[in-house]
Amino acid sequence: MSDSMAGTRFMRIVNITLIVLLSLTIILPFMHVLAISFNSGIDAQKGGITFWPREWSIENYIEVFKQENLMNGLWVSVFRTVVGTVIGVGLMAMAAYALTIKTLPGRKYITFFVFFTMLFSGGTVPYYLVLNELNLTNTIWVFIIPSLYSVIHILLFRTSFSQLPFSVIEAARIDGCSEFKIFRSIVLPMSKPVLATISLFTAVGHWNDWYSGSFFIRDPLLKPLATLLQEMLTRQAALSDILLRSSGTQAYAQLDKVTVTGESLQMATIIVVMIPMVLVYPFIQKYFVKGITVGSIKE
Amino acid sequence: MKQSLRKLVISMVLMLAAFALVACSDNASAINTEKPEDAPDTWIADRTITGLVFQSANDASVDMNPEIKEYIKERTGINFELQTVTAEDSTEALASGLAAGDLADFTAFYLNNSGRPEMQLLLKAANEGMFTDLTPLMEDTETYSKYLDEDYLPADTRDNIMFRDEWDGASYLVHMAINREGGDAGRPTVGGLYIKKDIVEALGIDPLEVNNSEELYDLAVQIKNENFTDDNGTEITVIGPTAWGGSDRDWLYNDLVWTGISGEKFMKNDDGEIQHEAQTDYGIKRVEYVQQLMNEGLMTPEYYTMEETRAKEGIVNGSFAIVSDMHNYMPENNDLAYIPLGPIERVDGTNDMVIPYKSGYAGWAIPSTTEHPEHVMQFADWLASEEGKRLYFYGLEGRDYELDEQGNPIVKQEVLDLLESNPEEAKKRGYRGVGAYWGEHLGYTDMANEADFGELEYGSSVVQKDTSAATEALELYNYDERLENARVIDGMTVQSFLYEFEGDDGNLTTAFNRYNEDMLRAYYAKTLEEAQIILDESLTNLENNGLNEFLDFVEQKEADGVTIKF
Amino acid sequence: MENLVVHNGILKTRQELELHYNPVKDSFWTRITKHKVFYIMLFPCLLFFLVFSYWPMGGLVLAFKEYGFNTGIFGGDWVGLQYFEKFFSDPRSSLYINNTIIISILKLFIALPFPILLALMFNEVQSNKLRGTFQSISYLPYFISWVVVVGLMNQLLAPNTGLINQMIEAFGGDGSTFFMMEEGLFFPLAFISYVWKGIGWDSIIYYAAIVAIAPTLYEAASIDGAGKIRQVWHVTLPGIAATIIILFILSLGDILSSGFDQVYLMQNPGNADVSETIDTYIVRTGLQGGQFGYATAIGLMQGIAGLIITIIVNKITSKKFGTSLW
Repeated sequence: MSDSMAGTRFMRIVNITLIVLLSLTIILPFMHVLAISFNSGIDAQKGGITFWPREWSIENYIEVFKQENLMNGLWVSVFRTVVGTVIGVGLMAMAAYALTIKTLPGRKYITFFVFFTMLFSGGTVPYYLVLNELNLTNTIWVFIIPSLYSVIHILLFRTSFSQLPFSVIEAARIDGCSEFKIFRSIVLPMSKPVLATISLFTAVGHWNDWYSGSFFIRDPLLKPLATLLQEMLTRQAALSDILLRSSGTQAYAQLDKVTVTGESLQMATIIVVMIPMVLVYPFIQKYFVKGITVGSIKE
Repeated sequence: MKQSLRKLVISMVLMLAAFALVACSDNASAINTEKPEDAPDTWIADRTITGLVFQSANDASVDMNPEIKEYIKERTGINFELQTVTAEDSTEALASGLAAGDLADFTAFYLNNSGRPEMQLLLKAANEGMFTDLTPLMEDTETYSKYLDEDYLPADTRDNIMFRDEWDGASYLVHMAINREGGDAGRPTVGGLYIKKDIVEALGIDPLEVNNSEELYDLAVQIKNENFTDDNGTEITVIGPTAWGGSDRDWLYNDLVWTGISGEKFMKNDDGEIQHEAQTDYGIKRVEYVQQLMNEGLMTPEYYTMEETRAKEGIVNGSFAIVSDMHNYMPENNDLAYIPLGPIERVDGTNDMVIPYKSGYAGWAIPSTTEHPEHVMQFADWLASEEGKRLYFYGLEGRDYELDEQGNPIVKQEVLDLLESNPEEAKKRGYRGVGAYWGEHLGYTDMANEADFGELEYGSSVVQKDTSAATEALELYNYDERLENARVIDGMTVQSFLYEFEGDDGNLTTAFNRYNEDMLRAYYAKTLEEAQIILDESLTNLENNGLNEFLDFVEQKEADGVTIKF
Repeated sequence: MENLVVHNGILKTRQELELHYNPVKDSFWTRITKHKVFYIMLFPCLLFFLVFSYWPMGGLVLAFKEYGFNTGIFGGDWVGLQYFEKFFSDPRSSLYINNTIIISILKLFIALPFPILLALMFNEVQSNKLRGTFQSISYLPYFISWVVVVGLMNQLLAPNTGLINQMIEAFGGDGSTFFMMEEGLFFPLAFISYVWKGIGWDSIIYYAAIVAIAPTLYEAASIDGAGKIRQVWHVTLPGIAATIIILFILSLGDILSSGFDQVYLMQNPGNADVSETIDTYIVRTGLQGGQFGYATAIGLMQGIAGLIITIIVNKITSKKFGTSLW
């Protein structure tokens, strides 16, 4: 008995050590990013900053919050994340619930119709043309409508709903509750873990998505934070593009036009963009205690 | 069961149609062409003109200062808006934008010359009727009507970009940044190789006497042997990348690149035949040179890949003895720690200054869907007029500058001070002099700063800094003397015939791009033999995609009397 | 227990009850009307997939057509299999396919156990606070884009100036290795950075699945004398097996698309032979040149390959593990 106790103890130590090591490989690079972001911009240009700022300064953060386009992008991001998550999660849960009704005529076909889209897609070009056809491009709705549903999230919801105690739902049905009411006041309240998880996934998906903002949006006032950050970070691509395209001295006028964002300001923006989502996680975490599973499409 | 599914599908399709109908409802903003009584002569129409700019990230400058926007509105009635699609590659953005067909009221793009890859896309779009014919619109303008004069445009712009034979006098693409006078060198610029001043002094050499790759190699060895250190006391890197990061620019080994001044890797051989570099041994010679420099630790291994941040870091700390490309106006070199080196001779043995007759680097077009396209043309013409240019270059009279007796703008000292102390804040004033480039897309052409503003450089008549680093670099380079002896050339580059040769197909274009990528792979090949194999494969690929036929085609063109520049 | 319900004072099984509500003799239409509320719930979902998934699938005809800006997807001339011939006549196309498959295998198969392992490790951390902190840290990298990650790698691994090389030099080694340029290191570096970036985030769902396992199962195993490791092997892993398999199969659809951002950013002249994948090739030659037909044709091949592999693997897992996606 004491042998196995010691074994368990040993295992625990190994376990924690490994986790701490992994955490270090993450924390150290982030320390580096933080150190540069808290260093004065001009001094940071000299390089050589590792994990601690050389010349402390919060000027970069002040500058981030002073930039009108970034603040505007913040609101776009908040809007799409909140609206996209609330509507998306609601609609997905509803669809998933309907798919748990075993007696629903055509259920198999509908399920297949939905899940096939996960296995095969039309590719970027036709997708873009469709968005354009629907006049969604260059509107705020291009962030919300085309990402309302996700097959894998529907799958998570459905598995979770089908494990709810059938008797409670049936009892409500017998009491004459409408299906919408059952869904709202019985199914959803009993499914907090899965709701929390999928809300987190959806919200993070919205927050991180820079791609749609850069390809489907032209109006500078509609660009989300993630896109603005990406544009800031890829200026190397712009420079290489210009260096390649012209020979001799002809490139200089163009090179001088490329907006130069100092490295320390870039790093401060990276941190500002990350923080909201990092702060959300602990609030969602407590729901994980109950757990969720993924099941298969057929049941 | 099947029936129900069909019903479901039908009902969904109906819903979809309804949805699409609602979404497509017309929301075109009103255009009012009725001129108000109190409107100035420059008034065009009461409308919005939206421009869609396809350029690399961060380069489009779409933000505009509200007061400047207001001034434009007052003078022309136009509400000017700029939008941008960003992609890591501007051509990719242009392709998807053209595919979507929604190009705003006008669209602007990069276009250095007609040999660029985006030219194929633009010609395809123009040939498919996506753009409005601009020739009739240009006739009624002040500035753009000059484009219709036989001698105004450079040959490539005139014959390949704007007035192509197959279009019978119609034109769909406007080429921008054309100088008013031919052979105008513009802003005095010294580009190319730079070397650390203190090293030059320590070695007691004349940097202008280093004119070929052998001399450069000897110099590099000499520097290496002296064990110089940078500002932080670490050992110096002899040859660093360009100031904008790693790139394969020709400056360093100009005499090993099979090209004249076009940078396109075509030249005539001794027999008078046009050849691509792949058909010569210059590619492998260059590989040998680069590998020698790298193996002996004379060149940073990151020469072709270093990021801009770290390249700038190296310049600030003086970590590179030689910088492979920068220019005399770079703020990082305000103290003139680096001075011009060379230049290295071209493959034909010359290294004199060559000025293109005229050249451009961007363009615009009006989609055929634009209502009243003449408004866009008139607006562009106003922006290119003296008033428009002064607004774009100098901002608002009274706020940013005053006019002197000759009518030239005198920049306010406070603006120059702000530009010096807080460039970000200065930029918000919103015009070219302080770094906002919204006017570039329509107004930056027919350039003659000296004549229009009485000075070449923004604010240079106010600041009399004779000893500034930029001017000093010019003197060190004997700029004036070289300018006096400069050759002015006009003509078409070899690649400008690509579209005519292969149409939309693009295979040879891709093969040319691949050759440049293969060169990079060859530099980093483990052995010379391996590099030779890579280059041989690349040549085979070029020949399979019609290189020889293409060169015959170009030679025929030349025989027909077209001037070709290499 | 859950399959039993009390109905009108009589205990019935679920099946019996369903039969009660939906007698087989009900006409098809009646059954539809009875369920109309569920169709209403499903309607927006079906509309969504019809518009945003099936409609673009129609665009795949572009793989056999000439694309014109004015003719759009459907108007151009048929070109048959020209684009496919073009792809396979490129002497390097087999190289692109190979590289793509290697990267896919690294990401789909080799990387698979890591987030699961991390989830198991998190599960063994007793203190909630500690676990929460570690979890929060582990998923930080998910929030930075590849541009930043590859930028950090470039700095860390730079010749002479990079931290790794400086450490090698401090220990008396040669500090001038250009790691990012080494062809042999491309796959390992791509793999490590991929795992590093996603491990914390991907472990969330496995962790949630682990937590869902009934504690009674562990107690039973413990009474049977099973140690920690054996509990993991006999209780935890079987408990989350379904989740693992389903997520795995779902990821197979992407087998021929190796993830664009990371690979594109990590490409350089030194590793071009191993880093050029189908995705980067499409962007270089298809999209940048406006050759949408060509790009679509290659995309179609990727999609079909993904579909076939998914179906095969689904069959295998169905037989071997009794779990399958459908």
